[in-house]
Amino acid sequence: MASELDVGEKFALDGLDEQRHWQEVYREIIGGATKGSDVFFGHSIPRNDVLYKVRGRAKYAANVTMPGMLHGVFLRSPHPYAKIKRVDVSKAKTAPGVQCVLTAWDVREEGFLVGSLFEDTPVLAKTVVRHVGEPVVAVAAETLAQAEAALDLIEVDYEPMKPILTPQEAIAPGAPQLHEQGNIIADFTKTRGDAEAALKASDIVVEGVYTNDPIEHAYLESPAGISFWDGDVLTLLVCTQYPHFHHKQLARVTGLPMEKIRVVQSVIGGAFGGKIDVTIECAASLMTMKTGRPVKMVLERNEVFSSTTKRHAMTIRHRLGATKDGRLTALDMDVLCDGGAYNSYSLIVAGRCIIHSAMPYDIPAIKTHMKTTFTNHVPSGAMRSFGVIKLGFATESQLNKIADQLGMSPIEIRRINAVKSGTVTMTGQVLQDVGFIKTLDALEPIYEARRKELAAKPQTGPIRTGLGIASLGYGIGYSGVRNPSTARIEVDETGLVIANCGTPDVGTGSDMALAQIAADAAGIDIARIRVVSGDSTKTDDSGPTSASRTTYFSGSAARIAGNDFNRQFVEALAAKLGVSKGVVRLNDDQVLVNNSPMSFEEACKTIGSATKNIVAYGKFDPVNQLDLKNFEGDPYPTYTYATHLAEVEVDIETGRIEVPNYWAAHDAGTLVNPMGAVGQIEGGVVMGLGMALWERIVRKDGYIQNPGYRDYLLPGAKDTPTKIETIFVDNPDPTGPYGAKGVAEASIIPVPAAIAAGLHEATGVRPAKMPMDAETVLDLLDRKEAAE
Amino acid sequence: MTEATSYLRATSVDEAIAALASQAGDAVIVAGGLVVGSLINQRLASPALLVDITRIPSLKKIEAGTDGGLTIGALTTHDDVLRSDIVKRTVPLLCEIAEDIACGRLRNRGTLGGSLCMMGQQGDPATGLLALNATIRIKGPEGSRTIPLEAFFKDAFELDLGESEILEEVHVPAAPKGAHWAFLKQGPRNAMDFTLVAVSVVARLGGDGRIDHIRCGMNGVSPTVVRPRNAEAALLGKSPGAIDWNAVGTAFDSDIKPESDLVYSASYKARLAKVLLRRAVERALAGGTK
Repeated sequence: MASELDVGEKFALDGLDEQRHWQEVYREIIGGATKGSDVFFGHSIPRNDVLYKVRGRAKYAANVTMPGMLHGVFLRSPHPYAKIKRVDVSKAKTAPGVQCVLTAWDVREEGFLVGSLFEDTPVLAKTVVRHVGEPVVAVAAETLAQAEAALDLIEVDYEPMKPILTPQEAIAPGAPQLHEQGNIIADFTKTRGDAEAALKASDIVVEGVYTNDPIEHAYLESPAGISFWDGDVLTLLVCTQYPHFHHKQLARVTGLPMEKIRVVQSVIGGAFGGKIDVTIECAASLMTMKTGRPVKMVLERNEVFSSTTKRHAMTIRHRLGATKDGRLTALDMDVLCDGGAYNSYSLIVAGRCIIHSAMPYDIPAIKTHMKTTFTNHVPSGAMRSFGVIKLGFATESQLNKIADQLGMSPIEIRRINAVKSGTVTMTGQVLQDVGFIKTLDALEPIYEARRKELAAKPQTGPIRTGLGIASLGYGIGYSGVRNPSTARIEVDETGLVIANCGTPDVGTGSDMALAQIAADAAGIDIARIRVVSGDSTKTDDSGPTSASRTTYFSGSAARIAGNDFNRQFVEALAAKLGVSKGVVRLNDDQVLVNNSPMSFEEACKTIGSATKNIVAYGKFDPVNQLDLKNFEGDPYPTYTYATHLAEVEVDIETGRIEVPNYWAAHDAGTLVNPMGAVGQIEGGVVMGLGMALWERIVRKDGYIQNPGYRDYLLPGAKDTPTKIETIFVDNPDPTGPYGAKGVAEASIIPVPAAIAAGLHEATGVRPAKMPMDAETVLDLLDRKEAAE
Repeated sequence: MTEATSYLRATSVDEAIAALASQAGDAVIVAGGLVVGSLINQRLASPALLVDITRIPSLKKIEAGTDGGLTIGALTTHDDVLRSDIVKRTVPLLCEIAEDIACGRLRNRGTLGGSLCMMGQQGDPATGLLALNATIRIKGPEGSRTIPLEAFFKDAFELDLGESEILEEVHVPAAPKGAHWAFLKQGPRNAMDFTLVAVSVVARLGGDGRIDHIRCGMNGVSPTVVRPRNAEAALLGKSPGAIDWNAVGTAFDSDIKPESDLVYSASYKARLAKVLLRRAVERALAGGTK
């Protein structure tokens, strides 16, 4: 296994043997996709991994088996908040097949707490459990059934305590303190000008309170991994967005030196921010250390619901003021947010929300406040857009209210308030290369034409139709801290090029995009390049794949490394041939020496063992600093923008909503791989539709009532719009690789607000809570009727 | 399936009945296996014996009867119903219902008998069969008996079916001459899901333009699939333009006992059911599918 991992052959279950044939097939596919062009950037090149995924041969961690492998399971807390009085595992230890029973007392003191931003989460609970589903004991046995049976033999005495179930309870005087730091995770305020005075002076002020239920990431693949000894290196194959994080955590937890640990990302079935924290990694690895044997752990879906992070539930109090000609004057936003039992990424979510308070609008006076507290719910964490989708729901809905009250087009009110190149944001950043207005311009004719078509249709019967508009602006990369990414490109004597890239592919196809960029920059055929990403020993720690940063950050690093590769390759060949490097060229996969051609393979063979001296390196590290106390500075190197148009059909007798048509206009810079970009947009639209209309974690007394897809409603194929039309505006970003910037998260952000606006145009009701399920909509219609 | 259970592949109905009788209630019949498999996987059931009846040919049939009706074997899959020319010709309502059950894969596995026996209040075919006045034949150690389908559903997951009895077939009589029908349903979402509310209506206008026949079947609003007899009575004898839907709704309220679930409240379900009932009746009276 180790040798396959070394060359990045991580895709197929049967490793290199299986992959050789399919990589030949893939080469032909690439040839067709580029239609003979020498440039790979900008072409819809199919992804490498799909060959294994569609054949059911992808190497997901759950599918991997190893000789002597044990199966690990967790015993989890049945209480939202309780003291642990006693843990007795003696019976479980002697149960059939059981090889290891791990409790908190088996974890070294220095590695007892783990966590993404703050080390606050016990690997296994010792004295207290803070949410239902928190792991207390881990068991590894010869079979999964034996491991599960042993869980029943473990005795834990709990002393249940009264849980804190809302942020309001958490900040109430006299509330029990869930952590040493108290109950507050984040408490941020940012002001620009005098918002209160500006609101008083405004011609029009709209108010609203916007809420949402927590939701599940709903990745297809449950968190899963397998730990094993590879010689004397503790190796973990795991589905994750951030192998280097686990590498560092494991060094602390196990006490092993860094060089004796390796974390490799397995093929991953979706993440969306939900595979960025610790789940099985520490417990599996510790049980491998105790037993010397491989340990596989795969969470069951009810464990995914009950123990992994969720999207934050927020209550957003929102006031927005404008002049009578539609110019925004002031924003006052106050957010209270349920962070759950541990820190996870709550602080990052809060920071990003503060920074994005006004986006994508230029508002002169702002007061924004966000408070996130601990509660005894499962931790809230990172999820596609880091909370900005909820701000979008509030701000975009408020803006649409103002447009309606002023009788303005929703496009026009956005245009006159839009950020532009040169706009100074709330944090003092001067925006560049802003393509927001281009997205409005792109949608306006579609919007106007469709309005006319719908107006011509008589609205009889129970179905009402409406159009809704919403927009977004979203910062690419971490908020206000440097977050470099790197790439290292190597070649061997046979001509195999390995690009070790900083951030792993989490199912988006980013490895493909990086290969396209690296191939163009290096001047070689993409089919030569094997991208190795997601291996903590092969790449620098370049941060997680999150925050829409891979194309922009890792893509830029790949471009720099590609250029460097070309230079080093030419120099190495010139040195070997004893010619001046000025007469050697590598371009379009063609080597020219004094104008006479030589194949790339021939050139590599000529360079011979000196190929190993070619180590091309690229690092992309834009200067982004934000003072997190006063939120002054340049939080992101660039931003992506979009405007969405939803056509909504409402059955006014049943409250049921359908979204038959949807248009999404995006400024994503220049596209690396248009097919992949369209996929991201369509996926985001459908994911946003789920949050808008159906998805909801139902909680009662700290327990999740619907821990499975029977009662947690995701949109299926029949619920998606018949048409999702994606429009990319032409707006190259000179700071990105070949003009590209990020696109992954953005498309989810405006969806709920666009649907809410369509619902309003169709029926006159304005939803302020998600999800807008049929019963919620019918209640709104009833209340409107009662009011009239 | 997680735990090994004894398994018997029965080759005749009598063999299956004998196997059931031998286990005194601790055996379960497997037809399509959709519900049983799911219950066992969720550890909600652990029967001592699985009696596989999928290889009993006599249970898999669709036959036109001499009375203009139809006999459908319990093992007939939803896909069989959907593709049957005989069903299409005689009772297309059943095809319409089958067409929207779950997804292709589940229609290939799921059987009519399984739906009637295992789906509690949520089976869709039962609504159509109630509206069509179907009877069922049940066989046990004591022999065969035939009962109206309506009498089969006693309470939530409680059937008029002994521990050693097997539902053999469903008989659908010819619909009243000149009757029309309609089927409507709404789920929590469009994608494959358990039905929230479904309604089947068979109705006919007499020579005087008044409703002289109406039978409905509904699911999702009571512990079992139900026939809303009070609502039917409030509709009978009315002409389509003169139906007092408030009165029908009041009558309907006494027919149903909806319960709240994690997503939808009882009152929403009652309201939705009334909307769907009205729409289905109107559609049937307007000519519906025939």
